[in-house]
Amino acid sequence: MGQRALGRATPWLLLALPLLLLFLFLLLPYLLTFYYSTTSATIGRLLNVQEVGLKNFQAVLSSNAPPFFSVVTITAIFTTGTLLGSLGLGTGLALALHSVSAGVRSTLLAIFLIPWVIAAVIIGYTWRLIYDPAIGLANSVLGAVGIGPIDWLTEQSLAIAALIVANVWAGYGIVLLVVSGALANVPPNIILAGQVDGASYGRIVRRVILPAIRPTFLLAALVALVSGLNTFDLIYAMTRGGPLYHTETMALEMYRLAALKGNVGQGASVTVILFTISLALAIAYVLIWRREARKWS
Amino acid sequence: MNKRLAALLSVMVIVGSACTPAASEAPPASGGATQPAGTQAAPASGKLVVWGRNYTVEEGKAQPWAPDPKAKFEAAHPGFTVELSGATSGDQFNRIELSQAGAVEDKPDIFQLDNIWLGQFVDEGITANLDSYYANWADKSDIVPAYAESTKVKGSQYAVWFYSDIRMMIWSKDVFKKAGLDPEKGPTTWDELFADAKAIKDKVPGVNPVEFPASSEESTVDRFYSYLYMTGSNILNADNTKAVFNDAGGQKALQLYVDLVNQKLAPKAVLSETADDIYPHVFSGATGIMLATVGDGLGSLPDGFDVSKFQSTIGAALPPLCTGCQPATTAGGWMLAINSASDNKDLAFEYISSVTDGNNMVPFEVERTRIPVRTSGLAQADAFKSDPYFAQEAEAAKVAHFPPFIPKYTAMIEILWTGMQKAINGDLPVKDALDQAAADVDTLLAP
Repeated sequence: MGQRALGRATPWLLLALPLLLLFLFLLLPYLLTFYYSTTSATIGRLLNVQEVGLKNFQAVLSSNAPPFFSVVTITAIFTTGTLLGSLGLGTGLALALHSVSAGVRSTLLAIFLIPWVIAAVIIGYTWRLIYDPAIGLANSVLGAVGIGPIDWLTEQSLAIAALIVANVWAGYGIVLLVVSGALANVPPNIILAGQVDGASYGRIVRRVILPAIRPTFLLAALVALVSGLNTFDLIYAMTRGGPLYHTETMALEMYRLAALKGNVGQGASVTVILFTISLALAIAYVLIWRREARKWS
Repeated sequence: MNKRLAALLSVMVIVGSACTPAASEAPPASGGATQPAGTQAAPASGKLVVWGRNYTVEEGKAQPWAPDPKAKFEAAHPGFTVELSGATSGDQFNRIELSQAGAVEDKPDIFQLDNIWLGQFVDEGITANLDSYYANWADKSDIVPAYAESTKVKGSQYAVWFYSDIRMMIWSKDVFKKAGLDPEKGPTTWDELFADAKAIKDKVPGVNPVEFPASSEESTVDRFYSYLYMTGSNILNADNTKAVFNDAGGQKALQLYVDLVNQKLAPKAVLSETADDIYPHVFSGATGIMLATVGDGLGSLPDGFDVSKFQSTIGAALPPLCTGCQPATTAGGWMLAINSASDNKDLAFEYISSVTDGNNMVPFEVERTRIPVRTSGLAQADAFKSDPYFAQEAEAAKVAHFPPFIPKYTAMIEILWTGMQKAINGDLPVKDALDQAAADVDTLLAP
């Protein structure tokens, strides 16, 4: 009897520590963030704070410095750019690697994954140096062919584009890895069948390979999407959201309000909004994934 | 059911990774300033806990704390030991704040603080009021007059100056030579600045004549203040309750920046540049003049620059003056304060007094190329001969100004640099940009 009880309890005993850590370092911060979003908490006063209802959300949504709509728009453009760029580059490289021999493939894969394992802050400062208008690599290269100099991080559209390029470079690796794994599982006979039927390589990719890896592709897309939405360190290192809030995303706004201005309540309310958007995207992913899974099963 | 649970957990983890909690921990504010610390009965034995910056306690280097002051203190107080520890700037701030919340085991008796933290620490009740100590302190007359009042908050003394750094204009001697200018003489007035910049623009293509930081971070305002102060303007009024940087002097200072950009003597790219970005431009000859940088002498030398190369490459002087203006610059640096919760305040002040003594500080300041804050230290020019621009820095120290030590300083400067950016970017005229920023600062500072 005792042994049976112990046997039943063993999984929970083994899980106790991870669950406790999960609660302390994941769930509790979420709950506190939700709580603080409805209080007047500041960085110097996190205890005995006053309940303010939805006033923090109201303040964030009606802010003029910068307007929240502008922050959401910049976030959407940056995230979409990151998503498309990462998917395009990651998938393109994966397809290219799929067509070379296994030995070359693993060497090149290791090289292409290097940016993905470098800390985003280092990537941010590296790209900041590349974009330096006076001594940067980008203007040096363009100058050699008579173009420039270009103020990469000053004008809004160019600055956002420059940030997207840097973030794609930093993040395409996960797409490359996931898609490469999926490509390895595509049955070679269906590709051969396409070739026998006289289909071009582009047509085979479009009609055979990509549909075959669609569920994995969806996962890679979700990861790239969340990565774009979540990016803070790289933008902070490159522009700090400026100039004139022209590159301020929601992640940056969250930090600026909570850490720089010390208004934890308003920072937490931006976090809750970002959380809600991420949650909606994740739920959409699960629904789409289940629909796809049903098709394949 | 299990699949659903797994899906839910996956969603939580994915979404969770997308959201950084806005804040995790911070100490509660105790609020209010402390009462003046009087003489107190100190325990007969124990330890004096001192939290300094990491480089002030580095083994094998000159330390201001030891060996002499520490040995002298421990000899005078048998049974007492001085316990020193160092931290980086960010860690120092955090451990001081956390000590207030009891989140760290030890509390310091003495801690080193960046001058811009003082207002916040006083507001949070972390720093002890030192008025009673200053009243009887013989060395207070040795503090450089420009610095003497800057350790006060709301009329009371809360810290003792440790060492300083000064904002200086620097220029590239190579660029000056190419432009046909005297490489040993930088511009001393705004008129000369424009004349030199135009000469560089005309004769040295591909080089930025002038640069100054104007991006979304602190160095933008920190390097601008010198030009504001020299006009007689200030950042806030005397009791730090209202913005005054939008007065005629403030407008004149910002107009300088705007004119330089509009006349293409400074690139618009300054809007995305920090002081740290511009510094290598001057060292590499890509920029002629940087309006202000931290002039702590050799402390910021890039790799490959020794003293002679530094002196032959870079010129340094006080920021150039506008017509009718007074010499002025901005200073920053580090102070020492006593924890309001310390049981050893008398001993702590005694040790601080010994450590900050001009003669004791000089070897450390020479080695670390810091600027003395004592008249007796500044007088020892011979000791600082390895710094080619010590004479200029010593001169600048006499006309140093300080940003206001207020708790909302970081929020305030964001408003100011945004206003400056609007004017430099041409979004608003200088007056409108500063008026708008001043109104926002007034709202921020309103009780």
